[in-house]
Amino acid sequence: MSALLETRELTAFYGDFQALYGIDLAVAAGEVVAIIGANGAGKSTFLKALVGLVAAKAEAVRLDGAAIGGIAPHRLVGLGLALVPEGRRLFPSLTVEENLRIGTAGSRGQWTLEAIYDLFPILAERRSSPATALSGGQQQMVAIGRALMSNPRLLLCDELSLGLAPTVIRDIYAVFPRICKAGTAIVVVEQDIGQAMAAADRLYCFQEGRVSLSGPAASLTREQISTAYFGLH
Amino acid sequence: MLNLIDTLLQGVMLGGQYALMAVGLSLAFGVMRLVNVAHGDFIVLAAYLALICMTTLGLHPLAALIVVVPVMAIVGYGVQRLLLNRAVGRDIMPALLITFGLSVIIQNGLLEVFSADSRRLDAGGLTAAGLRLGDGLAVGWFPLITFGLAVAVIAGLEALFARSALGRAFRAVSDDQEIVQLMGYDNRHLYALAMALAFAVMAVAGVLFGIGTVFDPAFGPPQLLFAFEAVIIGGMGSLWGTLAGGVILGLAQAIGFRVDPGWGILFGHAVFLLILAVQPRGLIPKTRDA
Amino acid sequence: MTAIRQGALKASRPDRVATLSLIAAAILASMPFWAGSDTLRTGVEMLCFLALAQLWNLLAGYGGLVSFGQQAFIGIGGYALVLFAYRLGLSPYLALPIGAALSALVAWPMSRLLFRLNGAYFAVGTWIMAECWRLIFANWSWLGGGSGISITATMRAIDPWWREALAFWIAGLAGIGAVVGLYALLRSRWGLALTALRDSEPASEAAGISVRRVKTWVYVAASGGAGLVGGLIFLTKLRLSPDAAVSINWSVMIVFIVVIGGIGTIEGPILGCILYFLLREYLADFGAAYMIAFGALAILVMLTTRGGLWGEIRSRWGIELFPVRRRLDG
Repeated sequence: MSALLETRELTAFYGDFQALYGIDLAVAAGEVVAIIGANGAGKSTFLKALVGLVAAKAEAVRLDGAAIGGIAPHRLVGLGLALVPEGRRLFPSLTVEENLRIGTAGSRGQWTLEAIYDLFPILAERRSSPATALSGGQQQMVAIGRALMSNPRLLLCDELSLGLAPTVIRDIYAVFPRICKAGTAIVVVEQDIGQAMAAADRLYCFQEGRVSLSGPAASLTREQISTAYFGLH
Repeated sequence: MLNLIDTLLQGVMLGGQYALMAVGLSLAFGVMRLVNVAHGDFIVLAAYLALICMTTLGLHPLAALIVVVPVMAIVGYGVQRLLLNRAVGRDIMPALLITFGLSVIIQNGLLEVFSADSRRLDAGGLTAAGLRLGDGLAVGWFPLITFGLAVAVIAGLEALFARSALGRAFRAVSDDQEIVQLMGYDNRHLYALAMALAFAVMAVAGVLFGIGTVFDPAFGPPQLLFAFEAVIIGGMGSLWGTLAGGVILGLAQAIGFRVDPGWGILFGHAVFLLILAVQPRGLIPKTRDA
Repeated sequence: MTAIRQGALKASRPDRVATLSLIAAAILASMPFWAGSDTLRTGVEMLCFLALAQLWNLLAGYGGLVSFGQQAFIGIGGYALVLFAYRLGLSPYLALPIGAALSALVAWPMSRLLFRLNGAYFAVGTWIMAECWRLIFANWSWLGGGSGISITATMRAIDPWWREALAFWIAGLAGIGAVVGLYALLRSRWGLALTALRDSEPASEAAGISVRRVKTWVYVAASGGAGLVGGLIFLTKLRLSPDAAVSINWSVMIVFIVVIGGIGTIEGPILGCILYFLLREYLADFGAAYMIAFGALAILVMLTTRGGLWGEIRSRWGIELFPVRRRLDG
């Protein structure tokens, strides 16, 4: 498998506190990878380390074989990385459409404003509303759309389903195949194991900053996962 | 009656000058959440730069803007990039005290170079000519130009913020300086650009101030206080609020001066404190808390 | 077990602080008997600055209230002399505590208004408030108006030696009192609240500390203190004008002393004060240059080490003259 993104021995620290202890993970083009794990397992830290918001060693993160760990966050979007952050973090001063436009970052590709509105038709109706006036699910759509606007090769999604109703979550995950069709890979951090197994090709389970289990989603049993998730033996 | 109208007219014109001075302060706070205590001193510095242009290049003070505006913009970019970006954060103290230090350095530096003598930027007949509005009522061309410029600058900046990609980025970085980086923007560069823009407007304000009034190296702090009052009275909701704040301050001072020349400035301060007491979020408050 | 080991600290090191303070007090008390006039005059100035610096340190370093307007209270203290001693004929030594009380009294309603401004806004707000006082004094012709007034007449009856000695003793009380007072305050129940406040306001609010009340008291106390020192300064100068009494330069000097010495420590302002007087002594010939040097130094401190010179010394050699930090022993 030629990996689009690969991490080797990725470690991360918050001051004296070590959050990640050598994560090895690989993502191929067009694939959906889910990272599951309990609170504090290091899932979000892992994504932050990928996009440069937490310091990482250069060789620990490779994109197409090039070492990109520790690069300034503003340069990563140009390399093809986009993040849908936990809690969405839309810009409250910007309208829905402005939030989408600011995601462009000078890129060209299939994801244009029209393509996003086609993906999430409700956003076209609300295009002039302040982004934070929308419902939680709609805000999540804006956050995904904002990330897609840069036409990323790798889309990182942090806790998409947090605080959303099950039907809304289903609608959001339903767009994944359309995103991957053009070769974009997705890494999704998810607490809902069922949702993760349904959406992902492969699964990684984190426990206390380490990978405790990994493999194709279809091949893993519930028992294996709950052992890796909760650390029960 | 005529007296009253004349006073009000003068107050409004004065308000235009204060608004022009306040724009830079309002901008820096809006984007960086930063209060530049050296704001007034940089305005005075711009006036001295214009003075240098006049004496060495023989330029008219308004023509000196061609030099002073870009120079000040570069200074603003540098101050933000080299000093203030290192102090941006949750703790307001470093940025506050760094600009306080800059204020003292500028004042004393100007004192060393230019002495404490009062100066004025001689604009020829510009400050003498006026527009006659009726019997015994006239308004000078120069205050009118200043007011018009304040309105134009504010309208231009509002359009920039509302419609351009840069304006969008300024609003975004003010909302969330971490996420904006993931959109491909270097937040330190954005902050420095915003400060450069603020300094460009301060340069205009400084040159017009130097044409309209005599100044010396100690004139910075009062300009900071007036600009600050205009911003707070206006309520930080928009730059139009700052214009309204400037006009209210100008009116208060003009009325105060009419009552007793010694009370003018104090009247302005009193109105500021009064608004702080009854409407602490200003006249046009920001609808959303950042 | 985890326990806050304050008792152990209290038993040992404060004794040293007390001994040092007593020795300092004894030297200061005896100085008028053997030191020359010039030394005493510089001494008064130094001790006044030490007191003002320590009070500002309490405000900004612990209370989180960065004020650029404490000159308001220096002015009120000074003008209390004009009003009560010069105009109403009271003893100037009685006018001093009256000035302090008045300062504290007006600080309370002022704080109501100023606390509506957060953080950096508060700093500029205090400056505007001070400007108001300057303009009020300038317009009050009975107190001398804009050109100022001489109050030499109030001191005529007092023997010159006593004048100098009393001024020096009061300054000593103010200077040492501010240091020891802040030390005692920080070791008291209030100290814990103040330290919590310095570290995190939301957290201390959550811990049941009324942030607003603590801040109000800090502001009122620091302002009352500034009023006392202000009175003393003009008791030695014997002439005041609004521009000199309520000048931003007071704030400039105080802020630089505290920031360069080390904000949020007791030792910092002492060190800053010594440094300030040394620099002024040697750079005074260069005119405004020493203010530029001070400004640059303060900026440098803010950019590099927030703890100032004392913070550097403490982290390098582990010295602590005034142990106020509570240690958590595991």
